[in-house]
Amino acid sequence: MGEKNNDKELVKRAQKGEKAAFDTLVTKYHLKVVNLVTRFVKNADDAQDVAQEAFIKAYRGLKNFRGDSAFYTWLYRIAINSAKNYLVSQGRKSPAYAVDVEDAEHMESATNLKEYDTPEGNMLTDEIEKTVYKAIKDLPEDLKTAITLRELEGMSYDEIANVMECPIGTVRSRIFRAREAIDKHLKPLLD
Amino acid sequence: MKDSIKELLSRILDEDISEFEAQRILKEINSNDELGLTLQRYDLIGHAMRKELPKQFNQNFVHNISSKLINEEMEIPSPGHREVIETTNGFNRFKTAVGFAIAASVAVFSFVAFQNIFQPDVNTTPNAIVADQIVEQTDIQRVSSEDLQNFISNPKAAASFNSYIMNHAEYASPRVSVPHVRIVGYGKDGLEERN
Repeated sequence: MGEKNNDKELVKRAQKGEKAAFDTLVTKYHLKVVNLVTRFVKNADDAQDVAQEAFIKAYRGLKNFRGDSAFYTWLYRIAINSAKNYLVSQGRKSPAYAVDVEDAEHMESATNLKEYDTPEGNMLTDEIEKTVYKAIKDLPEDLKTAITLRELEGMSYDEIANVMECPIGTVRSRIFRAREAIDKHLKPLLD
Repeated sequence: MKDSIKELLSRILDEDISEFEAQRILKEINSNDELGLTLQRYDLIGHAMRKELPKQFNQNFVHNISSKLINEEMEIPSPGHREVIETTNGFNRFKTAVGFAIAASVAVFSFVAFQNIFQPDVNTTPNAIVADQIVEQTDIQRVSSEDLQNFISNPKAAASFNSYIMNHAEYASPRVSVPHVRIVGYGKDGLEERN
């Protein structure tokens, strides 16, 4: 049940014209893609537009995606090219530093975004972060540990099950319940 | 909304979902927009924990893309496309068949040429043609069986004729069989026996 398999199934269905599958891929990767594009495109609104364009290009090119590489690698490449094309269209050069597709996934975007911050943007982002951290603080210890190991340490369910010495089904349940509990606080903020 | 469905949403983010479960959850997402938003918030939680939130968060990002693509059908590889593939495959098969046919033709041609070089057709050699003409032009005299018997029984005449045949075999017409057979074997005493 690796990522490749997971995406493969979504990609396969999206290629067959199943919009929900493509929407799921967009949901799964849109924050990462926006973060990536923001490294090139300083204006937050423009970054959103470029990221959208990248996904639209991806949709149009999906029929040609043969799965030789992981979907996200392919998608990130499209996003980087879209960002570079945007800069060219704006008469600007793309950044002198090269962004490797594999590295791009692990970028600490927050540290690179400080110069592009806008007060309005910061307000919502800060609000979301505060809400999430407060909700995590209130979680029962087992849920807090499970979600932390998953989201901050990037552990797989198997690894978490080993660390927490519990069945994988319990890990699934704990992570879901943690997300659900946090979401109860987050949803009113975004509605 | 059932928790079991929402748990699948949670697991789809973590790449912990089977093909069957993916099929099930996509079916649910298709019929319930709220599930898509929930998935988005679940993803947001992780980014917020890692302090990786974009400075501008657009909740309608997925919806905007979906709206732009609503009238744009995925170009699914059409039957025509498949035909192209099949035609290509067919063409490849055709190419292979043609290749084999050419190779076979060359082999047959080489074989025939080889035979012609080393075993020339006696019918087409100049001597044979001349012999044919001679046979046709010659007024053949038929001999009686008694005369023939006398001729064969005369060892000297038989040896002479045999020698002639042996020395002039290349001029023999292919339509005429050699009228003398020489059988060589070994008798009981191991000596050569001639008939």
